[in-house]
Amino acid sequence: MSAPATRTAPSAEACAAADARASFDALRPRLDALVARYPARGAALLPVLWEVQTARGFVTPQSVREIAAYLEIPAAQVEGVVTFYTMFRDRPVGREVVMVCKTLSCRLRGAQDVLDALERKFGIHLGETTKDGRYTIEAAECLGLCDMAPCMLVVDGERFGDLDPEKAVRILEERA
Amino acid sequence: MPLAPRLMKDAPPIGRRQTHDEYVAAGGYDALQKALGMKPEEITQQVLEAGVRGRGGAGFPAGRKWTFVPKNTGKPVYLACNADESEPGCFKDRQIMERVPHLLIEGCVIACRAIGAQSAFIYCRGEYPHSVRALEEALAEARAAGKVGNDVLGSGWRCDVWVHKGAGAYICGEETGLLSSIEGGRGYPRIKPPFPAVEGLWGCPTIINNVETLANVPVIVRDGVAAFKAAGDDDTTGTRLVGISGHVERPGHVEIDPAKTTIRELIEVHAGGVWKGRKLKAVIPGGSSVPVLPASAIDVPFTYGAVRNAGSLAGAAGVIVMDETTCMVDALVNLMQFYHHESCGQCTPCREGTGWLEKLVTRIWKGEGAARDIDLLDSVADTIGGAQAGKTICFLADSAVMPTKSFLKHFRADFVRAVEEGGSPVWRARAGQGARAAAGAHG
Repeated sequence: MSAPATRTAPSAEACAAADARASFDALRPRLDALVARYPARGAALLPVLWEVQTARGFVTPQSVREIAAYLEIPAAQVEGVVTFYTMFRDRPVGREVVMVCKTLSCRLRGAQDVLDALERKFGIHLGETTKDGRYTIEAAECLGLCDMAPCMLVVDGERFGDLDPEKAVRILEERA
Repeated sequence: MPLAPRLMKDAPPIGRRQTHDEYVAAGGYDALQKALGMKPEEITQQVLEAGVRGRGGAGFPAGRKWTFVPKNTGKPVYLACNADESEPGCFKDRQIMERVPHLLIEGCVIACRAIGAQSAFIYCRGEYPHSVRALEEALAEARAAGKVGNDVLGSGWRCDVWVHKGAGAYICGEETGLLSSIEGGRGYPRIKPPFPAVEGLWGCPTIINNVETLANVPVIVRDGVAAFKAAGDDDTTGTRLVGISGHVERPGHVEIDPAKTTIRELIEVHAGGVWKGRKLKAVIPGGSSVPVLPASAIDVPFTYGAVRNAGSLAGAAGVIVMDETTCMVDALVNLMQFYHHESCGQCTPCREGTGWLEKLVTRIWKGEGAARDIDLLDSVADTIGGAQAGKTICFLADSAVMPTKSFLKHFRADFVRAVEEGGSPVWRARAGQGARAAAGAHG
């Protein structure tokens, strides 16, 4: 998995704000139920990361330490997993992440025009966040929505297909 | 070419999930009741005789796999359902999970009964939040109705089924990478042997089956082996769920009798033909990892054997169609970006080799390639896999090699033209617009 081009550490303010959105103790009851599914605590790492990321927006350095202590695994394992999977975030992202498929079935039906239009309209490069903090828009490898190509997924909400440049822009502008 | 829907027989329209009660009203969970009255080895024997082969791409007979679980090890046995459908061009398992999830759940529980497992994990990719939701809702219904949980159908037998959500990594669809991911690690594939059936999750015997494979299990148990084998041929028994995408009028999926449906019919009948009245140029029949076929090779039934004889693989049944205007250099750049991005990085031939493939084909795409780069591309492909497969822990390198070799074999002229004419027409058009292509971005 290739790392993102920019790897500047998140600011202390951004981390503190994310940590303040949900205390680890408040998440514990949900996490305990996830841990109970597995014969080994560490196996709950992916589901626990999903819970923490959803609650806090991204996986902060403090989250890494808290999860490691909670699951009794090394912090390096937590960090290694966060950086391996494209959908885990160790940097602040927009309130919603928009994954726009770039892979073959979508490319054949105009995905590149959709990606270009979104960059132009929102004045950002793919992988960046809109000025208002609403969306992080990125190119994604195959989303498995090839029957709806070109397509995009707003994590963890809606998916949209049969896109063209105007339609993609309109959908993101008009979402409540 | 008659349709023979079984898996999707009672499926509600796209966008709606069959509820537990609807499933039961259509005869759902009858097979589970029947299976609970059978000896586990009898269930395995039925699946073995039905001859159902793995629908995730490798095509290994599911019943045979089940017999590999060692007896009396004193260790728990696990079932892992591979729902990490990430192969470009494939979206068939999504139809099962979102529309008939109880069929999959019933298949998981019966499979657990057969192999002696009491826990199943359905590994669903993170990019499928709708599938995860449908499965979670259906599992809650199944638990409430006593189909899953501590006392399955009042038998006193316990069987838990959980959804384990991935987070964006193609490699987790490789069966041992999937195990690493369920255990809470990076999705690193493992060296085999030991095979997962002997040492899988937490060092215990583990069977890994694809969604569609498991969805076929209740059908086999309920209707019997003969009825199951009424579709397909000796080599490919049962129906296949196929996705068709790319340059067709109506992209979508269809459940077919593979012995009675050709690739041409999939495109022309089920997908409305090549779009915009254009001619066909190429078809990737089984998902992006299998060899591409030229338009002249599509009059073959969609069985494992027939597609293999035609020079490709039915794989995971993701048919990607390309029309006459497609630049095959552009298509290959796209695929090589994918494999390079998804290489897990453990094995040097794959980590470096997929990068080399991407760089070389991109150089040709941008008009910076020389004629010798085409041969170099071919040579790098041979070096990391293909005829010399087995240099890496898993199959990802070979999955990049198969498209590369076959694109060059059937569509070398496109590559020669890109070298001679200053790049792929796609790149030239983008550079002409002053787009970022000029700075090296492909999209």
